[in-house]
Amino acid sequence: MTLIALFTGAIWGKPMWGTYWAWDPRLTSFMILFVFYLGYLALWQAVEDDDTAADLTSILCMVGSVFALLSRYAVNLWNQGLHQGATLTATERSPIDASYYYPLLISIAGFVLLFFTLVLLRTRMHIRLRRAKALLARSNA
Amino acid sequence: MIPDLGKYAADVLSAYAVALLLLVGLVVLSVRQAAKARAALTQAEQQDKT
Repeated sequence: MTLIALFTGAIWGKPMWGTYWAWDPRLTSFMILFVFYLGYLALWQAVEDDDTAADLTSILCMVGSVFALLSRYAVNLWNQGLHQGATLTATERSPIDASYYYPLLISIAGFVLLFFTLVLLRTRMHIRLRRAKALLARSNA
Repeated sequence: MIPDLGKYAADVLSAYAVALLLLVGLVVLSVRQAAKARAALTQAEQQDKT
């Protein structure tokens, strides 16, 4: 998802800002988040024992979650940059036109549903793999 | 359905294409891995019974 955002943002950034990339606070924090995710995946793959990998990556995840927050609030914390402030807020009426506002809400809902579907799918997959591994270990014992 | 994108049509449509490609890839990969895990569990359960 982070990769999609970086790619499509770069494509849109060219006509809007005249560049594919700039060291804008949100872009930079998002790039850091992407690199963090790569590190998370690399750590998970690098450790052979699943339980140890789960323990280590959970610690890394807690530490790294700050990057997600940093990315979310980058435009509020640092005013300079290409990105505008938040478009959707809980307190103010959105300034964007209805023809964009409702598709945006539908897209957000769709992404949230996709996210939960994938999380559940992959959680079930890992439970099955662990159970299969345990059964095989018992059979071979 | 899609409004007139004017001079931004190529940028918008290519962004849609990249996003769709990566999303479909992610979903296909997840579904295939899930199917493999299910098959592995079924096989392990059968092996455990025998």
